[in-house]
Amino acid sequence: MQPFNIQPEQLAEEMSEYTRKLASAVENILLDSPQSTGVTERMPVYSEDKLVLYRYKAASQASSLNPVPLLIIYALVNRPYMTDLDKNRSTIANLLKHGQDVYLIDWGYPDEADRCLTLEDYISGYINRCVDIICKNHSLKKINILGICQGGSFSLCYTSLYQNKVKNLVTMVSPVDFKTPDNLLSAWVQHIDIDNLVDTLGNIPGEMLNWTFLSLKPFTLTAKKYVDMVDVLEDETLLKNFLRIEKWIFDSPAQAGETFRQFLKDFYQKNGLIEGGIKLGEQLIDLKNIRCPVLNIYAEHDHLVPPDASRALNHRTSTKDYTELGFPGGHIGIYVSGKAQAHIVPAICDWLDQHT
Amino acid sequence: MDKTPSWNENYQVYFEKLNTIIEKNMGDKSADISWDSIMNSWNPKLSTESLNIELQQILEKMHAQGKIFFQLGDNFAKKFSSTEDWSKILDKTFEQIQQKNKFNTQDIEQQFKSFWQSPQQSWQKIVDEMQLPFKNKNNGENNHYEQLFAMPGCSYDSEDEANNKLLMQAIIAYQQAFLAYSHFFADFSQATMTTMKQKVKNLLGEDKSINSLHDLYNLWVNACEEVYAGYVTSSEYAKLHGDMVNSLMKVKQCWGKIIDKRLKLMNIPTQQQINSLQDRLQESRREVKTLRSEMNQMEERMQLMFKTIKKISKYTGFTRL
Repeated sequence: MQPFNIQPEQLAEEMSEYTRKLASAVENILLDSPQSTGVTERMPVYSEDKLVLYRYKAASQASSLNPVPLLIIYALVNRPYMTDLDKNRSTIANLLKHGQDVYLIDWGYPDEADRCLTLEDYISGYINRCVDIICKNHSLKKINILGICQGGSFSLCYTSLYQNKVKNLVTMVSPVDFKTPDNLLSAWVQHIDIDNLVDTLGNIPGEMLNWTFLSLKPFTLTAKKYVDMVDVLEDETLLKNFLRIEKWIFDSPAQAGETFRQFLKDFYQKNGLIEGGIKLGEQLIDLKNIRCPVLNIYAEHDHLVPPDASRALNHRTSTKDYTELGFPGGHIGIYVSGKAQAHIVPAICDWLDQHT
Repeated sequence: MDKTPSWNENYQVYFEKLNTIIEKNMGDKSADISWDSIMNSWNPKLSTESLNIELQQILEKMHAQGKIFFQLGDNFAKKFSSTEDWSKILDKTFEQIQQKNKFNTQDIEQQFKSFWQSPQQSWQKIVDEMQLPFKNKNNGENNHYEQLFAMPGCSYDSEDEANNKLLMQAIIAYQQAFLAYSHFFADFSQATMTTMKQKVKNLLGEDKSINSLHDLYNLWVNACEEVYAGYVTSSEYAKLHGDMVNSLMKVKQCWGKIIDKRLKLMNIPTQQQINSLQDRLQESRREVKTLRSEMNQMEERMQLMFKTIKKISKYTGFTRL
């Protein structure tokens, strides 16, 4: 029996259709305006070195405002505008709509002058000063924190050191156990001499991280994506969405060398959040110091931070109020999909409001 | 002058022509037409000069993958025969593509190489282009090269000699690590075809068929991904990957040492000196921030103290301490 049900005329039609769509897609791309790096109105409230702390303008249709502000701590990898790509699918706009007072740390693009920034500089320095500023502006002693991906791991470290400044902690697709069997990134990193890498390169170029992430699923993320996309790019809205995500994927800042060294060695190679032993300066990180309510959100089909890597947080803190929430999607879909906007963001806001 | 409209017009003409050619020649196996070569006539680098770099890169990727898609259609149309065994049709259709497009491990290797071939890492290109015969580490050729570079005449002084020797050793180690990495993927294409045929058999078992070129393409991509995942999730791969990165870093370190020595001779700051300055700069920056924070705390405490004093003086009548 022949498995191919492709007649020559049908093949011709398919190729012809493909070229027609490709032409329209290219035409639309050419006429498209530059992609924005965030759509919601915001104002800088503090800056230091390359860092800028933004406060987002409250939504006019917001329900009653949560009096405790929410600070979003994003990863150093990629840029935080993933949370605010499109006005209809913006995590930030949605948080504002549900009455949260949102702040976000934009780390900027580290250059050679930032090569020696350590994890201590980021967590006990930058994050801590941003929290102090927000506390001072609101005359509060504690705020809510939402940590995303690597930013979630940072948030856990921060909360373990400064529990008295964190009212509630939300972590999203954040790795805790870096050595789960399905963590491909972690497996690849185990045999790399990180000291050799950082001593040689200084800062770690963003292109290298891009290459690594793409090589996790190279055929799906290149061969399939750029052929499949032709089917959707005739539609102007879909085209814009695609271009925004594409811009975000390849907008990768370099990583400050010393921070990269410590993060890879202590978190990935030594699995320090689970095994212990992570030190920021003289301070030891211990997840048991975390006593505030914790909401841990993971993506069920996440190939970068496998669900088990996030779920490992359960029972590892001292909190008596731990909630876990799974999202049936991937690492990026949890911010940009309509499903996530409809379920995840309202769930975060409900949880925060109940804990205020 | 805005170049976009005229480019758009040209582009439209190109695709209209392309469509006509496809419609005319499709199904006519005697026609000597290659869609792949038609795609070659569109060069996104030349035709999109008015675009920003991000969009240009997207177009280039679309073009590259579109070419593979066209080649697949091209091959399938030419090789397809309703009387021939489907397994042979698959072999014929994909054999050429896998060789022609480097759409296999060579693509992955290329991506890895291209990262290191940025202007700062152009030395890597030199290493690759040297193509030294280091393929067999046991044939004694390595020693031959090591001996050559250890000769006093090949170096300026004894330090240079030692540095050159270290560089050569590092290059040999990198070449070997890279070859081991490449050999690991040697059977990739064959394994992909085996997996793909199994997928086709599964479809037949379920009474399903491949109804479009896109279906066939997706089946192939999924087979590639599945086989690739099998390779890269192994502990052997992790070791090979680590060895390759580590040996490459070693080459760069040795090279950097040689460059640093030349810079020093010319009284130009070396990387080592710049690193020391950056270390000190960061230490100073940290101290300034700590001091600033302590000053702010002191200021707040003093303000609180003055407020308290004011309150006390109001009740006690004291105006001065």
